[in-house]
Amino acid sequence: MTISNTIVFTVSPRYFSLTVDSKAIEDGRVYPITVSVFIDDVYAGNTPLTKKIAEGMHKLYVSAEPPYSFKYWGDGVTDNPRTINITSDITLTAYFKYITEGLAVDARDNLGLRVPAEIYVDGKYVGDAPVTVEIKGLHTLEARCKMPWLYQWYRWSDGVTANPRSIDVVGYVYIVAEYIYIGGVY
Amino acid sequence: MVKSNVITFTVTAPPVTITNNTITAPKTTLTVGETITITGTLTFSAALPSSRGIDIKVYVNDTFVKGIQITAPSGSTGINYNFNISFDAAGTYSLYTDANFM
Repeated sequence: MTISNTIVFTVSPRYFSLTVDSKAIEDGRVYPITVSVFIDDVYAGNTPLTKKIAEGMHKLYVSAEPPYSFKYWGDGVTDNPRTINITSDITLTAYFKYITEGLAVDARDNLGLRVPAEIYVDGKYVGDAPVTVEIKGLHTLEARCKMPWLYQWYRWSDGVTANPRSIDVVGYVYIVAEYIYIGGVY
Repeated sequence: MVKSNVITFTVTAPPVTITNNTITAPKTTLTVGETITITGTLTFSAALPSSRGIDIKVYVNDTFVKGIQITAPSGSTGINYNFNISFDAAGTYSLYTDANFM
């Protein structure tokens, strides 16, 4: 039994290109729009975007400003966020619809800055603020701040303080979940 | 003059052992799936009186991952060996071998 010396290897993952693009659909027209891209819950930039990311499973999310509502990915997937398994270079296009009837929800703090918040309609997660959903009629709306240690709930922009709350969507409704920043110095 | 009986002694050489086992790698920073060749050198305590088979076991993080069999020729005082290795996940790995005459 003659044991050799030991060699220590550091093995890094392989990296591939992820390209994310986005388009809007409006009255049969398809045109490019700019949306925010989040990879593994971290803002990665705006479309069109190409990033080198490590091989493996990743969470991909795209967020458009109102009144654009996410519809589907070019490969047919309708989940947003979605999981992607990176094993080679990949290009994905997110398609959004220009909404004239629906609910657009944003989340802001007392300084007007965007608050990271999950939005739920009728108890179902529909996206992170800002998010636009194609609904009408009476629904339950809830905002859940993702950083409650930094933001304190204040009210909705129409003055309602309940959260969750009921909201009657007639036509196009834009509403903001308002928070107070409590995190100290900005 | 009275001679005693004669005792005949047969003296054999001590068994040859592997006294040193050294491995080297061309690099230690790799990418997942990248294959490299590890080179090893065995040194014997003496020249082999006859050819001998050698079993080399490769361990990664103290777990056996592969075996290699080589034959050292008669008269040799050492031998080189090599094998390929790759890793299928990112991380840190320790690799060593254990060499034994068969």
